[in-house]
Amino acid sequence: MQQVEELSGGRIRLAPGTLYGALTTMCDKGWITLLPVDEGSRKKEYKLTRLGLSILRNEIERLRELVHNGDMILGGSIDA
Amino acid sequence: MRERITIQKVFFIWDFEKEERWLNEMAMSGWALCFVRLCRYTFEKCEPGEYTIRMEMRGQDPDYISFMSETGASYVGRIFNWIYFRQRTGEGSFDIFSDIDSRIQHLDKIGKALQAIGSANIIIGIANVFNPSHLGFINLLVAILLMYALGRIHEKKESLEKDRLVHE
Repeated sequence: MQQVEELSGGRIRLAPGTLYGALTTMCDKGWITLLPVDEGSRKKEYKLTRLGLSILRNEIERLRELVHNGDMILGGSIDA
Repeated sequence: MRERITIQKVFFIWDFEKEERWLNEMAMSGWALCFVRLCRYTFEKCEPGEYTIRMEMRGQDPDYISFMSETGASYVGRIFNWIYFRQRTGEGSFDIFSDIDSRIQHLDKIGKALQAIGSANIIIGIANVFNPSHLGFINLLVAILLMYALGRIHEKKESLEKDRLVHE
């Protein structure tokens, strides 16, 4: 949660209930799996699955296309 | 032990935001929620504004409570499916949900619970209408109240969905 805030320069605050929901959904979809929990530690760690990785790559590709299209349209309008 | 007070107060389920606001006003004036029972709130003396209080409807989920405590929120108590959390304001702003979708999901959950209890009351009510004790009418009355609550929750949900359309 802190990392998200730092990475986005304080723009995005991820609240715990929302994050918990996202983790549960991603687990159900098989995008991430829970790593074995150490004895005595309540901290949970998750690992990206192969499926998760390919979904992530596709999403990055999709966003890249959006940015590219946006740039092109903006560039076009300046020329026109 | 710190000084404590207990206040009796009734909030309707559709007023959960008002309830949360009141709990935070109490915290602002130096009384932090430390114990809850139905319509009875116990507070302990704290620094004014030391805590933020949040409440949420969620089924039994010990994993969630320990997850929340990892993030700095401590569990105060539970009334039926309502969970009460508090967090020190020094640890930053405290919200349970940070996007419209999870807020809508939360309202959905409240709506479904109301629907379930409401329909049960209608069925029991109708079954008991001809019972000479007139208990059936009480069930029907409760059902009407719950349906009203459902309408209020639905209104809140719709206004969030409108917001979401704007942001999309």
